[in-house]
Amino acid sequence: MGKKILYLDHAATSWPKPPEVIRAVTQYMREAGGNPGRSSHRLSALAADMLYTCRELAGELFDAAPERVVFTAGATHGLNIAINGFLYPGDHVLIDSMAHNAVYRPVYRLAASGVVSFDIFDTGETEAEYLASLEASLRPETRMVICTHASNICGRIAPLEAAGRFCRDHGLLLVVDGAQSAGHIPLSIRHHHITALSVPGHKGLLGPQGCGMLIFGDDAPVCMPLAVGGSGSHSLDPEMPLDLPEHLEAGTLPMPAIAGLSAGLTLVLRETPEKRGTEYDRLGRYFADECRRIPGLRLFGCTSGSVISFVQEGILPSATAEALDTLGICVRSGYHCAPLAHRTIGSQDTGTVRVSFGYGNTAKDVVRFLEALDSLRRITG
Amino acid sequence: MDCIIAMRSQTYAAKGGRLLQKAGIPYKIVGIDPSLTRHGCAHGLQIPVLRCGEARVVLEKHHLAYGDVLGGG
Repeated sequence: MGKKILYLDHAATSWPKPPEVIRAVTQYMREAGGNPGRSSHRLSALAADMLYTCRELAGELFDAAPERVVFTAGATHGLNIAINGFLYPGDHVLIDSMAHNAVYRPVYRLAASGVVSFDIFDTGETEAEYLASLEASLRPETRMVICTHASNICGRIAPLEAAGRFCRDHGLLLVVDGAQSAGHIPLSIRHHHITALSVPGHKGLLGPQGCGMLIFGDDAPVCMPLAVGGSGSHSLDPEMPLDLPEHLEAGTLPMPAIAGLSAGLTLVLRETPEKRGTEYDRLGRYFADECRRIPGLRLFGCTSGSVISFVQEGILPSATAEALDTLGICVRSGYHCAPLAHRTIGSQDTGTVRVSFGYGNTAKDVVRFLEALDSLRRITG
Repeated sequence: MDCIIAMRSQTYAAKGGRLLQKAGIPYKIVGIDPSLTRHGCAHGLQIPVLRCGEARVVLEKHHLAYGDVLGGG
């Protein structure tokens, strides 16, 4: 304790938050604080204006119409809405071999209830392998493909543009899990032919925990709500209003988190996802290259991105993470809620230690982390 | 005197408001009394009545659907 914290767990959540995000949250709570769309007084109107501004910023970042930006509790919530809201009995779904439990579990649950069937397609190593695997997994009743844009355990990135074209050409819905890519990799709803993109607000978009977004393409079909309730309009109707975003936004929205997310989105738009992602990937590659020199350290999966998984020979990942924590270094160990992905990269027996770079990290952090790993190796060695 | 253009939702009212702002038309987003609508609570754009026609043109130009025009349109 007492050591300066080195935070390398950005795939779980970004930390520290940029000062402007913290300012926006507190400013909202001090000066606005009304419930948007519910009342007509000035505080409600101010909140409503801030809410729409956030939709506009997200629309700009992800190339979508602001009114098709639906606020959710997070990426998992958004994926649950899309999976449960788009699929009908008899539909077949394809999920990829890097899928997080936020995709696997809701699909598995629908399949276990006999509503849909699903298959897991291998992402392969190349775009050609990815597409061949998709093609081979198609059935006449296939209706949806769910794409893990960026893995949460290694640097693997799906060929989204090709997947989008494939889905468009085959008349399939494309749902994208953008939990790890939003804010780090350019994403365009229109260009990538995405039906629905689910993103968290608190990872690469640098907002507070508690809100995410499900963003719909212009041609997305009607998505049935997962939750129904008050919407601030059409209150005499027993059903939710049909128009997005209110159709899927029952109840009060987490406005303090949304205010912070607006500040995060502004920062991301200014710095651009491409530039930010390139920098974090560079740190990841540097780290992975140096790791190859450390005896007994095994890397797993693709090592070209900002998320790196490894195991130290003879040491459980949890023990490595615990030892690093005593040195003030925050990483994650275990299965990272992605059993399919661990099976794919061959780390299913133990899980891994995961290092993920993001906002605020520099090459100096990599050096400090490598020194810590080296000292642990000498202690345990 | 003002008119109120009923919008499909609070979000569409905000979208319409942005368009009016760009066109230099003053507006305020207001709740519409439920007794004046068929569906209960609703939102609208309150505009000086003399500019109501102009506002409708702006909304229509951007294919933004709206409902009843209350009080002047």
